[in-house]
Amino acid sequence: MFFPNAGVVVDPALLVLLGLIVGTLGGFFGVGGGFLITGGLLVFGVPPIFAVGTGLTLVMGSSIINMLKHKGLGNVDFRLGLLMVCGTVPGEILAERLNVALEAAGVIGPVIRLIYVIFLGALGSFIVYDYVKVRRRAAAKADAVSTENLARRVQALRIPPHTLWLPGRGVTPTRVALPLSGIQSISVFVPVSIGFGVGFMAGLLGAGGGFILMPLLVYVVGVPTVMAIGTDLFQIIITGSVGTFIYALGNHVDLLMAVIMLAAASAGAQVGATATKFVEPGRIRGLFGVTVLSGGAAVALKQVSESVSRLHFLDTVASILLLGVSGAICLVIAGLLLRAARKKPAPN
Amino acid sequence: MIKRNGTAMVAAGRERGASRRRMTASGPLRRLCLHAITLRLEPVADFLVYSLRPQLAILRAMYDALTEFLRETGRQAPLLWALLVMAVVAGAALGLYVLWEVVLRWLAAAWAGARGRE
Repeated sequence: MFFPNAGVVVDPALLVLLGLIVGTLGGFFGVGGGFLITGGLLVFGVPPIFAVGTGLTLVMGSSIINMLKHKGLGNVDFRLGLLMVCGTVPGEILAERLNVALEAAGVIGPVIRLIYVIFLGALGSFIVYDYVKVRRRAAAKADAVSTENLARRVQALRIPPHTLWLPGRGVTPTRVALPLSGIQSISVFVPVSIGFGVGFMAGLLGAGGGFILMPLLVYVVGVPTVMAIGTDLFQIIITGSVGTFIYALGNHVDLLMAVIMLAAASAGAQVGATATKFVEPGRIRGLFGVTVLSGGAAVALKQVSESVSRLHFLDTVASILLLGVSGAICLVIAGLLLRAARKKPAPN
Repeated sequence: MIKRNGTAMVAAGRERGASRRRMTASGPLRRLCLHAITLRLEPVADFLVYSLRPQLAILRAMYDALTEFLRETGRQAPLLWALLVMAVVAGAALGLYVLWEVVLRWLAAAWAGARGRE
């Protein structure tokens, strides 16, 4: 099938498959899947700039579907999401400035890939380590993490000013309760700072930022895993929309391709989001860690292929590795959902 | 005599098994099936294409018009294009969400009904 904006011929069956994988992982982990879509579209022969632009458009659309699905399951804390959005937009703007400076210096590609490899490697290793550690602990709660003390300290942080004057509300305390996330009191500057950091990293790496935000909410703020997944998706809608608008302005989005993938992603989202209701949170985090590690390995392979001219084929190997691991994890999710649904009724 | 007959029967059985294995492993059976399928389906496909020609032509014209519209809008009106992309994707996402909700609820109701009857 010919796609007029990107000017390429791509088999729609491949796009449907990619959409299904992205939708399932998005619903299960609360990520937009930008890194996966871009890699997949590049393998299908889509020009790089269109792969990124169309990828961000799909991130926006699939995050809307996944967020609505999680809202129906009661997994979205809009208060926390809105606080984080206050920091996300300035963070993205600052990252865009830094990107321009790095591009002018001619080092943007290697720098971003290096940050990606270090970041994904460290994050994935920590998540898998935490999963193994918590599983070994006898009588651990289903949603227990090894950083509970850190989360308690972060929630207790007292950051000045303690009151703010807001138009229409007068003097307002800067500590708020987030009952949906199980947080009795937290300074508003904590979620705003996290939003800023995630927005900065998302803007720098050209991604939605879900793979950073979900672990941050779980391990640093102490938000329950499924609530972090839903709230994270709300945040990704904002970052995805900004990216879509910017790339569409430059005519670097193929609308037809995005809509085909979105239709498939909507089916995958039903599986992924419903699975979070049945699968235990620790297992969700463990699988997420494996996905993040495979993402890190794929970026490392890409960097090697760029550095050594004889190893250009590693670029394709990287994308195929990422797609293969993601496809396998989708099958695991579907299997876990079926097994859990047969075993016991939904816990909530 | 009996022993010789028995040996002959075993040999014949072996030959039949080998022949069956040859048929399936080397591919004549597969080729025969493929021929049968092709022979049966080709006229059907031809008939469908022939009888649906007017509808296919309309679809082709619609696809060409859509292609032209997408290409030209993207080039000539960037702001309108950006707003259109966001509106279409957001609208499609909402529509697909509602569609799946309706389908899943209907399936759940049908499933519950079937179990109730049991």
